[in-house]
Amino acid sequence: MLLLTPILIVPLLAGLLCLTVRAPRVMAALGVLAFGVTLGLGLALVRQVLARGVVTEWRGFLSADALSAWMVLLISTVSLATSLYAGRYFERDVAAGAVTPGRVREFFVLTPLFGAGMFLVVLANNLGVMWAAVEGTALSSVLLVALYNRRTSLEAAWKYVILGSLGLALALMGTVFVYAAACKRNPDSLPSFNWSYMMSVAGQLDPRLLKLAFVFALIGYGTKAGLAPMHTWLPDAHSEAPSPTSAMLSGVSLKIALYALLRFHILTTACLHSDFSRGFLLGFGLFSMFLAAPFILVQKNLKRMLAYSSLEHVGLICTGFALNSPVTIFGALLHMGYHALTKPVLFFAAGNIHQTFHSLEFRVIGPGVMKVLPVTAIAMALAGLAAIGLPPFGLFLSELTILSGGLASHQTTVSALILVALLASFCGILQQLARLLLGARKTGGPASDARHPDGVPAMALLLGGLLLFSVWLPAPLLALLHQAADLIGGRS
Amino acid sequence: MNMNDFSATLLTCALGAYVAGIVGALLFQRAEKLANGVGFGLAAAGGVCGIFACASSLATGAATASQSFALFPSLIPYVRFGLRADALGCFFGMVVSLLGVALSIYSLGYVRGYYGHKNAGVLGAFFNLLLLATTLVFLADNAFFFLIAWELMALSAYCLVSFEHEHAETRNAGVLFFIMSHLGTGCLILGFLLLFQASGSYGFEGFHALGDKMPAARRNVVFLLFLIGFGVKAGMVPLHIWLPAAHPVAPSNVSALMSGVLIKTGIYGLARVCFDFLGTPPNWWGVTVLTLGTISAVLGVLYALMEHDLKRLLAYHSIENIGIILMGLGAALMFLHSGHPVLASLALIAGLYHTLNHAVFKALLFLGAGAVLHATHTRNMEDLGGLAKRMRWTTLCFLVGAVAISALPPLNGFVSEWLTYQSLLQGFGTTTSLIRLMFPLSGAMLALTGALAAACFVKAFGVTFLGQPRGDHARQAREVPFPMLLGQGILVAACVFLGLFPTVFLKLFDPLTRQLTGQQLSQQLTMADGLVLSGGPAQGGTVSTPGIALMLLCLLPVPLTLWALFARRAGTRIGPTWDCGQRGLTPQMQYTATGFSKPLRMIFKALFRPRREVQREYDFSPYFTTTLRFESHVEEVFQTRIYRPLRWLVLRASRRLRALQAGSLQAYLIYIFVTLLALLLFAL
Amino acid sequence: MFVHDTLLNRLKRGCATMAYPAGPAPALPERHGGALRVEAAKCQADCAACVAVCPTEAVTRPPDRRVALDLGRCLFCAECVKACPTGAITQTGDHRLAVRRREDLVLGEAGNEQLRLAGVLDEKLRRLFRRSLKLRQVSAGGCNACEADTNVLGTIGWDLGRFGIQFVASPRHADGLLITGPVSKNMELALQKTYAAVPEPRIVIAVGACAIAGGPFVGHPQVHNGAGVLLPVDLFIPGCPPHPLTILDGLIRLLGRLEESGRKTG
Repeated sequence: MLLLTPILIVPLLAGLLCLTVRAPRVMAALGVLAFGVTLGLGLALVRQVLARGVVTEWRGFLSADALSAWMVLLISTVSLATSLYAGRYFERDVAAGAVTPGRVREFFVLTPLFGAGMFLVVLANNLGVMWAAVEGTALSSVLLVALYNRRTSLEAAWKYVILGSLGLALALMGTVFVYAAACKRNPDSLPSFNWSYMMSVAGQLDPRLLKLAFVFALIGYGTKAGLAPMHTWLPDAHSEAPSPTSAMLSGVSLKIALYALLRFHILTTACLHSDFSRGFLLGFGLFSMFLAAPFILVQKNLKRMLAYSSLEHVGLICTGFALNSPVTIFGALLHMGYHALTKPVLFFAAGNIHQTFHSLEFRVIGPGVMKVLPVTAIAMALAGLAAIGLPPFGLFLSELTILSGGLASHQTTVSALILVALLASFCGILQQLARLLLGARKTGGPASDARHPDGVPAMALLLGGLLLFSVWLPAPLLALLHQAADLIGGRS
Repeated sequence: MNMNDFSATLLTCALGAYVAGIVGALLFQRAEKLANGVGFGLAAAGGVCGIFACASSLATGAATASQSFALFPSLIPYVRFGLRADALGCFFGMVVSLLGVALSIYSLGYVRGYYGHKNAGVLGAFFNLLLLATTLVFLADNAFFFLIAWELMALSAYCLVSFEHEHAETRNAGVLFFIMSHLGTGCLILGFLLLFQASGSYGFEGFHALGDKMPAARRNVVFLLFLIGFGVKAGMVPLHIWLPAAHPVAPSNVSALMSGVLIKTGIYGLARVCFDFLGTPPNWWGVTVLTLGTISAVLGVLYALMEHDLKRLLAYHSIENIGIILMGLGAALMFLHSGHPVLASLALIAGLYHTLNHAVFKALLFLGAGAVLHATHTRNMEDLGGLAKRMRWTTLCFLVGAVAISALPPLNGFVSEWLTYQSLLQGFGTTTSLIRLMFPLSGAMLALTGALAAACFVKAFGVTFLGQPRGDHARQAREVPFPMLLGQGILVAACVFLGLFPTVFLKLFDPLTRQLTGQQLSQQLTMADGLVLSGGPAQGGTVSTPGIALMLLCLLPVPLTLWALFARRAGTRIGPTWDCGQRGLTPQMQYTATGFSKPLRMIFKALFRPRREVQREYDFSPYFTTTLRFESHVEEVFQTRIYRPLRWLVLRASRRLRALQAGSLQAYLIYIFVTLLALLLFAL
Repeated sequence: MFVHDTLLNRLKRGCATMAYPAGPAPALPERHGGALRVEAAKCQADCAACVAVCPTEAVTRPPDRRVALDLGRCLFCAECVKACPTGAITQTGDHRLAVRRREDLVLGEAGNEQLRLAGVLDEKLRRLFRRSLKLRQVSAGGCNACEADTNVLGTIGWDLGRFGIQFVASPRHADGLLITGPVSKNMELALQKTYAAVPEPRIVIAVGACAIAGGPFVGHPQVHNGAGVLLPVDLFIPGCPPHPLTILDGLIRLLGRLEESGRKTG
């Protein structure tokens, strides 16, 4: 039975269908349905991968191993929540006159296409197709970032497209170098561009070409993944996009790029058998974490702060992979999942705040949001506590796992550095959120909106999932993650 | 039934009661009285179970290091929810449960003040969560679970401190508390992970005496990390700045719990690490702890003297008492190093007994302050006065607490300070190096602290309760509801029992010292069938608090008899207080707290750097002033010299860094190219 | 060497306190005429010369007797001595002026040519205060001359302390009040409160013409004419101001510390 193809087709169809549908409610429902289906398919895929190791279709054109299956789950969950949230969000925006219905249709067409692109990235075996899929997601997300058509959104989208294109161009070079290495090994016939094929002949590829390829891929996909110092498009794009899109961008799209980078990392390590790629990943990961902290400390804009927080988390995940012990890689994968459940909630809450106060500046929103939007504030508080790594939420567990793995493999200094960076961003986010949510309301401003809590289904779904999986990790999931960890660590 | 099962069941019941309290309080949020009753009633029930579980475990000797059981199976990897009821954990568990009972009963009355404008159910829920997390901290048997409980404790404490978040002062205090707590937790995480690295597992059994197997440099780093991490939580100078900010702004039952138990988690951690995990310590560890303890004690009481906010004063006194506890622990470490386990046990007992005593009397004082706040709606002592006639029972309870904290016999503060003196003074003979001078020096500083503490409480008690009311709030004060008095009464009884019958409680320390230092001292410290407390082997002194109490009671008839015989014959004339013949004297012209502490402010002005500003307005002559404005400041040295400059540096550096993200697309492109070039050069 | 020098200095100086009352009293200055003596027999019928010159109406010629000289109101300016053609009023040079009762200060009656000097306190009070009398001084709005002359009694020449008499800081510590000044309206409340604050048994001593009868301010609407209007006075020491010797004599006479038998006592 085909699993991978429906995962690609369903959101694609849903997106195209939205071109013909009129009512926004129906469009939203289509999105929800599509991603619900992919979530179900993803769960089935997990079972298959656990049983068989790798699932392939179309003669290896689409292939899913443990890592891909995990990513499919994440993409589905975040996209589902986004679609749940987006319906009422855009209703209010249209009512307030911030967007036209045409733009809303644009959103509901592009988002499933965005999702489909992301699915293609993780399911494609061919490195070139993977690159094209990343380009596809970039294109759709650029249009989504520019949705509001304001001067600032257009500027953000412009920067995103320029820097993103540059990054993808470099990534393309990296991809080409890999192919060149394969051709060099096999001068007679055109080798396959599949990643699985590359992995099988990894030992015979030219090390220097692979190194070159990795460097370009690192910079290229690193730009899309938001690793510092290539992250400069991140704050603008994530804060100017509509909140549902920001949620998807922060929640999964960064991780998709990281996924692509990981494929190169695995390949390079398999070829070189040295710490070459690991070292660079470590450096960029730590640099991202340390660069995020000061920007969070003096931040004035809510969504920019959340964007920098994503930067920090992505840096942590990258560092976790780079520490290269089974425990840390497991922790990093777990962290990907928990972060994907947490960050969208923060963006949804930020969206509610934006629509109520018509601004994202802390100074303008003022203290005492809890008095005006109690449900949103509580959701933001819970998600914020999760994002800064407090129990009982799972991010504490994953962070501690990464740290203990680092220390167990005697990389004490790096672990200490990670801890310092985590502490710094903790202080920043806590202070900003406390100042925002708590306190008494100054006179004037919108009245309490307790009767119409917004976005509750989406936020509840994600928070509930977060809490559930913070205390219970079902055995199949654990097995999947361990399998993925082995894959990344080169032990399978 | 096996004793282990009994206390294990009771412990589980206690924890279950706390969880039920959280759920119940949140469920019944809308019905305030029900939420109050359910939440705090269940907390009290949990506390009672906890006391019985821990006390019976200690008393029957069943509390050993091998009593470990899993609370419930863990569904996530690496974490095991295991509890270990060993002697140290049971002792602290007993402390938290005792305070839980008293404070919950008190809260039943106190929370009534929040009806109508704040959510009592949320308060009850977080209170239960704090009790739950603290109990788990004391009983956790592996590092992961300990850290989870620790962070939960900090989180619930933060939510409780920020309960009245309408005021900016409260919000800032809460954030400061949480940030400092988290910085400490960071050090703890690193420390525990270093231990994990050396032992290979997270369990505390694996950590036992691990220090002896670690290289010396690593061991020292671990010690320093734990010292900083637990020191922040304990409120050790110079990491104490969160304490006087957070304790005053929290609701009073929460302040009592924080001062009583939360900061003791730092002491628990230090005791656990230094005596259980790290093996035989080098000398400088003990010296450092002793020095920091002495400094904390002296500075804490000096800053307390300058305060006129009742709860801030009490918060600084907590710092002082933590200093005293640390002096005991530091001395114990030094004795362990020099090979005197008996003296080490004595010092350890002194420190831990003081932990228990401080928890009891500090909670009592905070409850009294809370009662005053409940009745008068102000914490400012300069507006109070004359409460003794209006709130008799509260005055009595506060008086008992004040006498206890001033270490006056026959109450409990005296007993533990006496034991601390004994251990310090006997320490002089343990080594021949110059370090031994530290002992009498610390003893002298301890004496200074005691005297200053007594002076401070004369001020606190006198200005708040005696005299005439200085303001309307104090004039309209009425006695607080019965549950609040009952809660205070429980702690008064505890103070009196702990003071009069120390020899009984010493038996509880036997399993503790047996586990940590291998000695059992209760026999040596008890004489005359338990009536006399001895300072241990030959050089120690003796004191009998029941004897002193008895003597005081017997001497009481003497002045009464004299009064009956002589005073009746002389006539009595009642007249107004002598006021230098002035007219228009008001109660505001009584002695103020600021005025009372002025001599000490002048003596220690090198530390305080007091600033004084007087502004007067007059119409036609400066001799007939119409308005007078007086401002007096004491410099908070640590904030102005260390923390604020540090914070300013960090923020300034952060703002400078923002130039990197200035908005110029060209710059962003250059970043990418430069990185690419650098990588290419580096890689190839 | 400061201590050494001071000690040597003190040893060289020796005792500077006067011998009185064990020895003779120091001489009164030239200007001080001492107590006044009135011989009413020498008074002429229609002469009112003394009345005309008296600034405080201390000397009057009441209808029931020939002349009345109220030493309580007298400023001891001696104008009446100069004005009297017959020399009925004379200065005696006697420093002793203190009396126990107000009426004892009025001279002019037959047999009342001179003061009946103060007698000792009653037995109970004498036993209490004989060796220790602590006084609270109240300056009730006068010119400060009486205070100055009272103050000088504390110096080493006079040394009031050797009799156990001392001025204390609070009426709560005092056995009695020593009042000077005419008791202005502003000081009335203070004086009342001070008196109320002194524990019993207590005595009141009025020093100076102002405290006895208003002095130069007599009749002014802003003063009460003397402390006797408000409080029961046990000892009156007239003068304006009374010489320190007079004050001292009055105090120790009150306590019965004066050995000499002297004049008739009342």
